[in-house]
Amino acid sequence: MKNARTRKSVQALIPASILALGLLTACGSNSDAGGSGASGGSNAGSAENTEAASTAGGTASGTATASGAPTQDTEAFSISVASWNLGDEPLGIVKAYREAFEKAYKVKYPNATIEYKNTPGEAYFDLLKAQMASASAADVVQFQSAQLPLFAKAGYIADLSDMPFVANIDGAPKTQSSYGGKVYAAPFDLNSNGVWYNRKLFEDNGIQVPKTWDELMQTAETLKAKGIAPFAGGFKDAWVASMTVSVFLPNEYGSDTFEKDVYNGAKKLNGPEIQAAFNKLQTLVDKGYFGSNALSNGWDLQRKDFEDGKAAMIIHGPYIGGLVNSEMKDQGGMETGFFALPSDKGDPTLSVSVGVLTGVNAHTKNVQRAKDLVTAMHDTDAIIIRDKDAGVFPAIKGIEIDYKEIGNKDFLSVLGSTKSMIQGQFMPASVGDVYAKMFTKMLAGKAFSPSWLDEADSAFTRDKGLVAPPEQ
Amino acid sequence: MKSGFRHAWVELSFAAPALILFLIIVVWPFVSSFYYSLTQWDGFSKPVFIGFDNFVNLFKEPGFLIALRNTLLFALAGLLLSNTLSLALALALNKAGRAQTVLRTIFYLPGVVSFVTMSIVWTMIYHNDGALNQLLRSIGLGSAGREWLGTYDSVMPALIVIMVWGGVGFGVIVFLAGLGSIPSELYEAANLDGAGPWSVFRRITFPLLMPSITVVTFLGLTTTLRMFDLPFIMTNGGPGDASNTISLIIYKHAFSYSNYGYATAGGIILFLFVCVVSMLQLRLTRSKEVQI
Repeated sequence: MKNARTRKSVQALIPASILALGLLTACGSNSDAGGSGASGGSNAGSAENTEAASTAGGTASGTATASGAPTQDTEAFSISVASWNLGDEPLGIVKAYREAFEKAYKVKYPNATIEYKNTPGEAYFDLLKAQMASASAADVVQFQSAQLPLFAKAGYIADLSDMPFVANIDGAPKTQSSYGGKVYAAPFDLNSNGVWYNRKLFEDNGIQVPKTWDELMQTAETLKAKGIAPFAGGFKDAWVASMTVSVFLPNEYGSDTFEKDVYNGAKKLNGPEIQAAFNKLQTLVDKGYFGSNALSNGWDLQRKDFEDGKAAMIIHGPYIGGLVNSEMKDQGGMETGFFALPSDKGDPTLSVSVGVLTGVNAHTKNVQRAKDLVTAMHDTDAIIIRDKDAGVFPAIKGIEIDYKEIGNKDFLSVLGSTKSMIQGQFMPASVGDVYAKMFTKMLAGKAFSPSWLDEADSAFTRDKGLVAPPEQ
Repeated sequence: MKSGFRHAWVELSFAAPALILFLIIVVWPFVSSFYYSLTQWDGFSKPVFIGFDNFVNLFKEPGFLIALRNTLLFALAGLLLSNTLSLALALALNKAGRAQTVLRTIFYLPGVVSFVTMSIVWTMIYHNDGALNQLLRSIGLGSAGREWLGTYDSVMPALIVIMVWGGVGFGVIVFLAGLGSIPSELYEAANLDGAGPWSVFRRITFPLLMPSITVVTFLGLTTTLRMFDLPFIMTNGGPGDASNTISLIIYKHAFSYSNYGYATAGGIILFLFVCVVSMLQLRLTRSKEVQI
């Protein structure tokens, strides 16, 4: 009996010991996850200025290429690139871009094999985070500006401050590529959202591009009276709702430093600035300017309404001009135009950001080879191939592209002549989601109440510790 | 004693590979999640201990209480509508003779259709210009038409219809198996005693079907209380928070906002919630089970 009792005790003791050990290990884990940071622990963003779009239409020359390499490295090796947007697409633009930068890379590394690890959509970013944390990410990784401070702070990406492209970036691209005063990624493209319009519909109805908010309302009323929805709605997709709200915010901020002021407690997210933006959205909803299918349509049907001429305007990013033109190819294409969402006084502010950042995994075996691949991916010829037909706008100065769409030329012109700022740098992602929720609530028939913004303010207070603070 | 002690070690050594894996893969992450729920953690940096703030903030978040209500609504709808419909169909099919096999397959089909395909089809049905509104217009009820997934009062019923449609077949299969295991002698005896259909159902079929009801209800509850894919794909929890669920909130906080500590706190609340409801359900339904 005693034997049996002893046996039972041992049987119970061993799993309990392992469990306790697991508990201790769990509590002690990750203690150095933030250590070994490459940054030196300074602040994110390192915003040097808020003239975000100063690179648009810039003239500086000397974009780096791999061809300047002094000697060839003939060793056969494999190098990997992870991305969400390097996969093949119907137009074959990405494939041509890959071939172009591979050619540039092979000038120095003729026997290199580039391995692509492409995961489309949001899943890529979840996967990337896990791979970064487990030191199993690709040698070269692409990501977005929101991830850069996290990766740099944790020491997951290498310092690229000594690379040639750094001399050719400033404004938003430089700010969003940097952390703690060091450059950690090469910015690929400039992104800004605004109002795209159907050029033919505007001309046929004698409509001029509106300069002020009142003119925009007048334009919308004219279009609605003719049975055309002023704006295409596609808010079944949460990102479209979130992006649309974000377009209305900068005009109402009143200052480039609004988000910094919120971070520092000088302003609130439930204050008059954000209320003004939502009041404008409420006006558009009340007047039915987003059409009757605004919440039934996703991004695909929203675009279709715009292409079919059922809606005259669509609020989106720089991809629209090239995309709708190519999708309407069978019907002779579609010419668009672009303008910044007008403000009350006709002095709009655009939010400008970088769409794709390319960095080097700090754990890669050969940092130089990875850096050279980043350089090749930003080779001028390769960028022109990637950008020209897709309506992508280079973030590196000195790359002049003759876009075939008038809308894309419009976009560049507006970007170069409109006041701009970097939006969302100090805002947790949850705040944007609360805004999107509020907007869909309005579209579903609820009238905007300023008290709704308390949720955004609470989300900010709760999650502000998750974003890198502004430099003081 | 010595041989007994050695015997215990031998037994443990056989169990050890599985036990160690179980501890590492299941127990350790589960236990450590309690610690992470007390931190603010972005998944990369060192977690910052913040006590019970995550739990307090969760209950302060207006969307969380709505999500809790919606989660319960899905569970109740699954319990009442899905189970009742499954049972009714199973009882009907049990007497369907040769047609049973074909009808059983038809009812089970929605359960094997790809969720993405299903969501595309239902999105087209519920679209403002979709089949449902067209049908309503064609029978003179056009004024009842709406954006079914974009209106506060219709989004939850619209999602519940999809959930019941997709899940009813599984219940039918289990109930049919249960009905097949009830001895026919009992029905013959009841018939001889002059029992009516309702009495037969109440006194024989239902009590002897209770083990099947326990299984279907348990699986249904644990699935619906974790409801995620349906609102995620169809509405993303909207409009506003109208179709939000706890699982969706957890997902957003973890993977969209990188707020893993907060998401873990939500996970613990959901875990406790599922545990309590499931235990109550098992206790209730098992107490009604009878053995022949």
